[in-house]
Amino acid sequence: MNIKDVKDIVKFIKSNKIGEFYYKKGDEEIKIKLDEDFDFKDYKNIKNNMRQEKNHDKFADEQISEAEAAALSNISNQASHTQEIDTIVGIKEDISKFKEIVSPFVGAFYRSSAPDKPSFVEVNSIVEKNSAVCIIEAMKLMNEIEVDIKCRIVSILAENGQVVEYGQPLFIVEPV
Amino acid sequence: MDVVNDLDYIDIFEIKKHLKTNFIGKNIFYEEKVGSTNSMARELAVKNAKNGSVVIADTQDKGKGRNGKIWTSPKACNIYMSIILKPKFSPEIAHGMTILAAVAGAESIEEISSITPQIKWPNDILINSKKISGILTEMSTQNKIIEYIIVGIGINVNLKEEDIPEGIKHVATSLHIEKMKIKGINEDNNILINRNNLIASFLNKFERYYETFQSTGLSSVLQSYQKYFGMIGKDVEINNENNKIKGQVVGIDSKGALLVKTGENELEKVISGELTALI
Repeated sequence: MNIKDVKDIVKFIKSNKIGEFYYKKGDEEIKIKLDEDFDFKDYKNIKNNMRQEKNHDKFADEQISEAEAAALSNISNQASHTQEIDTIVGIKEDISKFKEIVSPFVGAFYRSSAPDKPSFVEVNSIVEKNSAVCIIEAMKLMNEIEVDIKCRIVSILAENGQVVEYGQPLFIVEPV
Repeated sequence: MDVVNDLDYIDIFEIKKHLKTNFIGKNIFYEEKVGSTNSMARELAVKNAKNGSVVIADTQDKGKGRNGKIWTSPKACNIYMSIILKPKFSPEIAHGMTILAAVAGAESIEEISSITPQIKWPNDILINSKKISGILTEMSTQNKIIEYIIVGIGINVNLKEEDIPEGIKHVATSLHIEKMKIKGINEDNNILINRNNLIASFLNKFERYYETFQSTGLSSVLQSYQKYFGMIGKDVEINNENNKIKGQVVGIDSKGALLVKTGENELEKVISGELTALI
């Protein structure tokens, strides 16, 4: 399957409003899922970070990157219904090792303990177990969110000062 | 009124004598000088200090306010205290602690000084529009489970006018200063409030409201809060990191959020931000 094929498939499922698409032939496997609520920008960041870390052989890596980049660019240009490509060739195993850190209540998300202090973490920071990664504040209750495992920050999903909801993912981390 | 005429000092035995609590203040850690009582309480909480343990200091050299601000903490005149809590409830309702601490603070100040303070949402305590007490509540969670909550309170008790830094004189006051204003400056100028009694009163009230909160939720605590909440009808501005809200305060909702009327038919529910009353 080449880039044009992927583009055609995305176009096809969009125009027919198909919720989920799965294709498998030999070693090739592709799954595309539509999700109206998904934040495409965040997803792209996650995928980019994942791509850097993948341990696939070079050929597979190039194939995935190429197909993925084409599909993502196609979606971003046409941006209406198709907002997520869930799994493309072999990425499934990688996703399973990531963990989400979610907000324990509705509040404002802060990346540092004070405006003039450095952020607790950046993308790719390695964080020790029991270390704080952010603060959620509601009614002057400052809640330091700690990680319960040593991990690497794969993606930061909220903006500084943004009000986040209960259960909203704040970080994607990878246990190390 | 509880006044002392000689040098005021903190005495744990005196405090305990007046405590009527079941668990808060059973363990009191007193230090003459700490960085901040909240920081010390956090260290103790991590090292398995018991639920309800209290840290008190006579002075702090790194007193913490919100957003990294400094809480001025001269020695031998004020209260700097933190309570360690290890509750079983969900972090979703933990912001109730800030409301609860404000009510306990306002009530105990009123009981000991006979002055009725006002609460500025959510938990600053004011007398004559100047700050007398600040509360800094810090919580640690992992996987949506509370590890501990630290409720820190600073009360300006016997702080003298000349000891308030110039930069905050227009916004800060103390019980001593306010009592002096009532009594008249030329009369007994040595009115000192007994800090031990005020600490015990605060801890007694805090535990009572804490237990009410755990058994029936925030609504009954909010009823007491309303008595001191002096902002209804006031025009305010709330500054957040990313936006600014202007409007008129119309009340507090059942979760303690501030309700601000921002337009003819527009009501904004505020859960975060620095609030300023507009004159």
